[in-house]
Amino acid sequence: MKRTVLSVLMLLGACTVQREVSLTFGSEGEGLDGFMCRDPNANNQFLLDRAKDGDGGVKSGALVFDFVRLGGVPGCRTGQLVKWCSTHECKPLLQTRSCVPITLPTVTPMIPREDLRAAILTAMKQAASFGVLNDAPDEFVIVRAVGTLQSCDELLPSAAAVELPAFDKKLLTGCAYSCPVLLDRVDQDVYLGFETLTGLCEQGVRTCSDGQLQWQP
Amino acid sequence: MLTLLVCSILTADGPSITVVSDADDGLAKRAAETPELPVVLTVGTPPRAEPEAAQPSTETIGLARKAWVGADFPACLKLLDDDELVKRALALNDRSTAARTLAWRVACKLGARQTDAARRDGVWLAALQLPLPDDVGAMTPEVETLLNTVRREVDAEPRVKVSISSTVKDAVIAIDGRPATCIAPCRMELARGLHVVQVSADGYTPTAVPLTAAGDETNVTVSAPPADPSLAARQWQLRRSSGEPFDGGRSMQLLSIALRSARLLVVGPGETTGTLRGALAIDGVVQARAERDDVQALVRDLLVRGKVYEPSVPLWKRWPFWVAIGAAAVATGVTTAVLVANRPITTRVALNP
Repeated sequence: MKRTVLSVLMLLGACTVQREVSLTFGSEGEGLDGFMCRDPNANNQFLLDRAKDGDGGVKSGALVFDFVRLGGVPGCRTGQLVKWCSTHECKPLLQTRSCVPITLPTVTPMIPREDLRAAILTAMKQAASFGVLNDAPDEFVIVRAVGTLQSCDELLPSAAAVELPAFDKKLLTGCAYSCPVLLDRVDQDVYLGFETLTGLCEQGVRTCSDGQLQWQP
Repeated sequence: MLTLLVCSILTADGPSITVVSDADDGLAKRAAETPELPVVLTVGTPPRAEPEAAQPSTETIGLARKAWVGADFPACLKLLDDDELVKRALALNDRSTAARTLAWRVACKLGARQTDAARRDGVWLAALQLPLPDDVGAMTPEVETLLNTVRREVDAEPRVKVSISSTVKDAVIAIDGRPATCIAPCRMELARGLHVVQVSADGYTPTAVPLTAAGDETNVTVSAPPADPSLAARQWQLRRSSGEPFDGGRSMQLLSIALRSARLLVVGPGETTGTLRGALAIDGVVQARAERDDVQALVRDLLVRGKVYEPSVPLWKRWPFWVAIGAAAVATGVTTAVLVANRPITTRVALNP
């Protein structure tokens, strides 16, 4: 009797709930606006064009995922998040960064926006089913995806690292992020997006990819 | 030290109870062999009362009479001039000896020319309402005349109202050697003078005290010490021989004293053939009576009804058991709920653009 009760308790204790959450940019790539930004300081070039080398080739890049601790549960809008992070420590968790090599499309200056969105979405699908993280943090975080021309080797922390390697702002190609979310409890796919009213949003990409989500002038 | 204490507690016997049967020793033995009881049953033997002390002989009176015949009045008075002789005879309800003692004292004092003293003894004899003994016929006419004269005088005097009470419940009062005059408290009228009041009751030693009736009214309270075991044994035997049942209240009380047993259990034949009857007394007071076919069942019945011990109740009939079960169920439920509610969650995050 005693053994049976103990066994049941041990089973109950040992039983771990396994869940899986998907990150998505939306079925039509609605969340990919952060990858379609232009740089007003570079003749309004798309950030994606940073991948072009002088020989007409395209440099490979990476898509880096971070889980950013917020120290609370702020609102979801960009302004709210930036304001929150100006007074709180918003920091990507060291051991949660993951990186997948990816080659994003280069584009012509006059490409229709929807074609560009579809091309980026298609490129993103190279990384479909990429395991971003095996055990999500047990706290509210935002999930951030940063496109960069840096390699994963540069950006993944070493075993002894105490801080995450920072992004080279000149090599950023895009960014998207989620609302604050408790991944152990969320019942839907987590949507990654980027709020902007204009295509000249290079500044937003820098802010999004900042190590402490601080506003970038 | 602690081990010794624990051992002594674990091995301690229950209370000791004396089992008696004045009808059948074998019955008492079977009763004492009742198994699995938390008490120690010991077979007791019904007391065999020692014969009561012989009453004082009339030898002293005979010697005094001989001294009076020989005109040796000082010797006669030396033998009889002690009031205790009269009081002792009255305490033993021997009014004849008391009367003869006083009559011969009157005769000796008259012979010794102690007329006033002789008269005082004559008045006492009359006040005690003692009959004139036949010995008076052997004395001088002067003695008989004195005795008759003072009796008339005493009879003519007004009586004194006497109230007698006792510290002993239902004490039987005897006045001047007249047994069972009344049950205390009681009132009566007595002639003036010295009297002897004796109190007796089962479980107590009979006690006699002097009472001087004087004035219009006299009150007296008499007490008596508890009987010793031998006296209690005699009193018990007297009751049994007078037909009192072995499990009667008084009988059990006396037997407890006689056997020096604070807890006494008596068994004997029941009213109908084949049955057994018994009673249990604690400190001399009957706590339970029962009748059964089997002596050991009878003993158990008496011990339970007498609240010497309680039969063990099955575990499931005890309320703490169900409280424990309830508590265990609640604890199990809460633990399960906590474990289920706090199961660790592992969430895998994957890209699905």
